[in-house]
Amino acid sequence: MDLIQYKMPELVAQAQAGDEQCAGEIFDRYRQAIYRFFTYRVGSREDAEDLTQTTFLEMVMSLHRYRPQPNASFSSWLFRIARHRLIDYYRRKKTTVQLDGLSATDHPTLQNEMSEPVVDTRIQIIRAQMRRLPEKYQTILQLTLVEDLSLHEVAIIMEISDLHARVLKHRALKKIKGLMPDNSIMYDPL
Amino acid sequence: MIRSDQQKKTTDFGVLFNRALEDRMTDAQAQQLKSAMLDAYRNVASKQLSGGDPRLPMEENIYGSFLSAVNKLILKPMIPIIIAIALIVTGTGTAIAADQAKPGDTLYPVDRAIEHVSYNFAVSEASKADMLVQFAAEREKEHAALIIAGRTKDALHATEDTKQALQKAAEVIERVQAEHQESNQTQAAQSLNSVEEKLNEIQNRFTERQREEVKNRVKNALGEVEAEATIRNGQTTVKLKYNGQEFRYTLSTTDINSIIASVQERTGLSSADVKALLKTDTEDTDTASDEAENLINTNTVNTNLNANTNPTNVNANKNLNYEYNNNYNYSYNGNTNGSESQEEPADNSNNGQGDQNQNRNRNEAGD
Repeated sequence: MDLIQYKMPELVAQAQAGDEQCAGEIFDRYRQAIYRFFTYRVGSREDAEDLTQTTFLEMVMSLHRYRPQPNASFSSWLFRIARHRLIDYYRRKKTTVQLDGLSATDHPTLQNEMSEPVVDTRIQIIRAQMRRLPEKYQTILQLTLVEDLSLHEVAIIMEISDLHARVLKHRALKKIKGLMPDNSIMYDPL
Repeated sequence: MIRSDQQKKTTDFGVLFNRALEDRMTDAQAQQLKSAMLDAYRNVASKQLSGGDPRLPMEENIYGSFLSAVNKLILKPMIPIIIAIALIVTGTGTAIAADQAKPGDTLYPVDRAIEHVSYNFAVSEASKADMLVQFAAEREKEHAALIIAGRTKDALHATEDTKQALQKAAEVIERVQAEHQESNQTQAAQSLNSVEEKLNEIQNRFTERQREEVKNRVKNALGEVEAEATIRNGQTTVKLKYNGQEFRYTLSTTDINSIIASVQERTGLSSADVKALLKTDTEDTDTASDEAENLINTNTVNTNLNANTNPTNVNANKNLNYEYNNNYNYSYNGNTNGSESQEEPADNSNNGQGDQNQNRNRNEAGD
């Protein structure tokens, strides 16, 4: 059977049993999501790549300990590793506060490497303001809005209660909308 | 289904957000990362086949595979029974004895299990937060006792346990405070302040002890070591004392990593040791100049990020080399050139060190 037809639990079980191709397929399925989780939240693309690599290496090292849970997907487990690595990164760098006020165009590497020119100023604003939010707000917004994970899954990733996740998301949305120059962003057609 | 206005706004915002944070790794980068991951995967698999388990150090398992299995299969399920028997037969004697147990002691799992049970019996969130602070205090005491007893291996476990306990307590306090504020229970939120202060005290004691531990460890090689960084107006003045000499230099950055790297260059200490040793002090400026200072900091960080993305460092960062028998350490060649440091004339004994590429180890705790 083609690997692409495998469902995640099967892939993970095969990888745990020593199937290298399945381990590679897991990487292929999640590499962009994990990389996206780090970009715009760290200092540079190189840092995002390093953190992506560290996350997957830790996944390999801890795969034998993973046990499927009825209400949580494999991605919850993987994102939890990614988030721990991100928090470690912030602890090491301690630049989150100092990065306040940076706009997307200030980003040293993203400025020159954007794959397409950004025409929507609102997008630039979100990129810049995202970095001004506390880590928890960034995580909950990214995982629910970009990765489309349920609040329950995000609660598992962030090791908080479902209720707390709901409160956090509400606050995060309020906060980032408040950081916009005006509220027009909410009403403009896309 | 017709969405309500509020739903539509949120969804539109979600789409916009999605577009803003969409970014893709190139295929070449992905292939590079994938091959590194598969190398590690093969390494893990081959060690398993040859009978050794390379992941044991990551799990910080001190028992070895047989004892680990015994611990998992027999001891852990029996812990509640041990507690019950202990309480029935000897009153609270065993429980008290267990309370004195430290990592590496036979009764330590019982001690932790008793804590776990009491935690689950706590009714209010505030009392749970208070309890977690008590647990953190206990971990910290155990850490101190193990260092005094010279049980370094167990002390290492105690260090990790203390860090985890402190972090968990801080998270729960933050969450409970947020929930109280959310429901306008300001008095309840304030009552947690004293708990938070207590936690800070424990954290400070723990940090100070770690500093002393590193000082003692490096005493033979470098004599008395002291490192102090004063951050002011976007600049950092570092006072460094080792080998019986004192140095002072200024960095045009406030980035803690650059400060640590500069101390590493001069002393040859590992990043973790420098982190433990370094005392940082941010001098407050008046409110009027705060914004200016932020601006300076922002520009400085921006410069640093540019500096960190030079080709040498990028290649160096890519050269991650995992070692399985060293508790998930990985080493990399970091180019820690001192381009942004301005050495004061008084310091003239630091020749020939600015250019070296050092192999540094970064310790990463397991998940």
